[in-house]
Amino acid sequence: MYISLLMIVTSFIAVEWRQLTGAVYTYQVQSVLIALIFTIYAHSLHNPALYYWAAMALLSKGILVPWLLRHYVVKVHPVETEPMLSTSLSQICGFALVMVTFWWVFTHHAQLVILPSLAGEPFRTNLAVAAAILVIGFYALLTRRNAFKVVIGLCLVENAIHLSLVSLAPSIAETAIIGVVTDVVISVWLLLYIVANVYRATGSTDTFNLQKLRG
Amino acid sequence: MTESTLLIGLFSVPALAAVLEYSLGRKLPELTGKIGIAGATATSGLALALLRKLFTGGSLDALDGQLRADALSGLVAVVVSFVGLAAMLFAYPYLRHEVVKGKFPAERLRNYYALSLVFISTMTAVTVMNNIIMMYVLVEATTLASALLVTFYGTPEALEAGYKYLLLCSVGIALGLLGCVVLYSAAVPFVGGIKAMEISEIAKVAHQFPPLVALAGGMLVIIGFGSKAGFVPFHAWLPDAHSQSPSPVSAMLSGVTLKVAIYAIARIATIFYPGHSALGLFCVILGAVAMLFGILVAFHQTDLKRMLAYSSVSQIGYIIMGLGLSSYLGFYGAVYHLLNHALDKSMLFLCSGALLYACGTTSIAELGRKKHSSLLAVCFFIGAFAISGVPPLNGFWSKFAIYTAAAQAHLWWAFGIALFTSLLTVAVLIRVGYTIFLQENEHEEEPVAPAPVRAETAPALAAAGGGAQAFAQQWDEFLPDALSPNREGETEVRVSYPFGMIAVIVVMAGLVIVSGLNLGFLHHAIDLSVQALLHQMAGG
Repeated sequence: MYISLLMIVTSFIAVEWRQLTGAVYTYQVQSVLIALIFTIYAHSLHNPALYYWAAMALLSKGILVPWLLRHYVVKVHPVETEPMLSTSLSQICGFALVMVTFWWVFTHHAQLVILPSLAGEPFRTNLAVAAAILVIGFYALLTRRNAFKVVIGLCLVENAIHLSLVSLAPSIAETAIIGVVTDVVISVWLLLYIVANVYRATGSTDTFNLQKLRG
Repeated sequence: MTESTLLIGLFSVPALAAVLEYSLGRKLPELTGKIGIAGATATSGLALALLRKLFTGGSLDALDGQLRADALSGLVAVVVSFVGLAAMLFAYPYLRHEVVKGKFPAERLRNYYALSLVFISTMTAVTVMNNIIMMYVLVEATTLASALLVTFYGTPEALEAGYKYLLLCSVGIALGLLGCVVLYSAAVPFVGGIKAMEISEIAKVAHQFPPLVALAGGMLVIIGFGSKAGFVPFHAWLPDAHSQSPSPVSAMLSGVTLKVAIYAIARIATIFYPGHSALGLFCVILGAVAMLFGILVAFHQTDLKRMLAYSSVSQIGYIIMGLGLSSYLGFYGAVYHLLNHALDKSMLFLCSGALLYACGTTSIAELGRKKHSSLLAVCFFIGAFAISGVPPLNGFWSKFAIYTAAAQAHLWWAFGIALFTSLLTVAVLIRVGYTIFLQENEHEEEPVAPAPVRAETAPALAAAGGGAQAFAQQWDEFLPDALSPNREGETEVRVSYPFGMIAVIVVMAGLVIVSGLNLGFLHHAIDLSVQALLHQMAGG
């Protein structure tokens, strides 16, 4: 349970840390935490398929995606472009949104979950955490101008959805796991590839410069 | 051929062709593109065989229920593979011409064909997928396969379009995954384990789901896959991606990728209509907003491809409204309009590609100052009339079914918006057609009607080989002065299109006309598809 609360903290840091390499490291820590949660689930539910899930998550989110992110961040520009809102205001807005979401899922958990084995703790906290991270990810997507921060936001959204996937339906098949994980890695890689090309063409990773096409 | 090989072949044949295309393309550059066309032809053949097999109703299963096809799958697979084939055939002379003009190096041709084949493969795979999580994986895979096609030219604008496309669709579809997960987890207690991932199994137990779960799951699926289908307000990627990608890719994106996402919604969300009329109403409202917004924005576009893209946003609105009405007629209109829009809009995008080929621009005003082949004009107007729903053509019948369904459901506001949008569509498309093809040279249009593309087969073949250089230089040189409207003798030096390009457009225009002729087999195929949807709604 403390692990999942730590995940909210790491998401905040990943969004707010201006030094992009630091943000990527924070994301990596969070992904390792996710893999740890999956392992704990596997142990408490006696479901060996979840160990497999945990290994896949560690490989893709803990190693591959951060490696890709770092590779491109170092190549391009390691400091974030000024976001749209000032830091303190941005933190207050984000925090309020997260609290509301967390509280709603926490109190409505019984209506969302059907399997009796998945009711109660730690699933309740974890699902609420997943919802909170989802909101943080969307918040990053909407307010950040730096393309890398936007990609990190997308990664947070994906993490949140995978956490909710395991909290709601742990008995997922291997083919689906491989498919979902491959999709995530490829989409991050393609996005970074395009961002690097944008940087080469325009000399910036500020998404405000990407407004030639309008109307 | 057994059932399972047919279903698996449908997506593995183009995937295999992609591998061949990529690996052989380096050693044998003269084969580049031909393998692609062969692969796309084989896929169309398989899709037709599949539809024929399903023509007596029922469904086919493979891989222990993971793959499943009914008439709706067959119909969408035929549309996907056919538009894919048309785009491949069109791309062959078109891209070679661009290589000659120096827009990109010839080595990248094989990347284009290989990616296109992967793109077709992912789309056909969606049509036969019965696993709800894999459905998400494949719809996301269509985005991934096409993202590099959108950025193919590598210009800053194309990169911007690709970035928006990839980001918005990935985030949107992530919500779709959340919806799929919610629905799957709800089905686990009733079906158990891995079987609960099969859409056909979920349909059987859908009525037992708790209301909040069914509603939240359905909404997330509609919004998530809807962002890929270009629903307002998630459409921002659509006009950019459509206008910046190579024209054959625009045709595929608009013609079939949007339809594949709609297909996923039709497969999953309609299951929950009976218990939750709010979902249906949600779709009708989304459809009404999309159709009106799309056409109003299309009205003041200055770029032909952007205008067509916004018109696609509007036409998708009709399909989703038809799906939301959830009656026989509504579904009939939706499935029929899905087919019609795929044919009409991909034809119109190929027309815009031909215009770009000849004039080097897609700006409506600049195109209006030049002279164009009248055969192309006829095709453009057939497409424009068809998509606006002018009576004898296919678009009219599908829209008519949707109007009638809206009236039957006593949703008069929806009926009014749909009718009003249709009138606006006529105005927008005819205005554009008039500006491009008729304005200023309407007097000269009559005498040269019959043979604008006469004997241009040779350049088509030449364009493929080395002779293209001379040919391209020749008309690049006389283009600027010869085509200015107030010059004598311009009819002699009309721009000539490769035979292949015009043939594809003419054949598609022919299909647009044919599909409007209330043909028995077409009606039967649509009827079976609608029955499949209704059957699924009634609990599979």
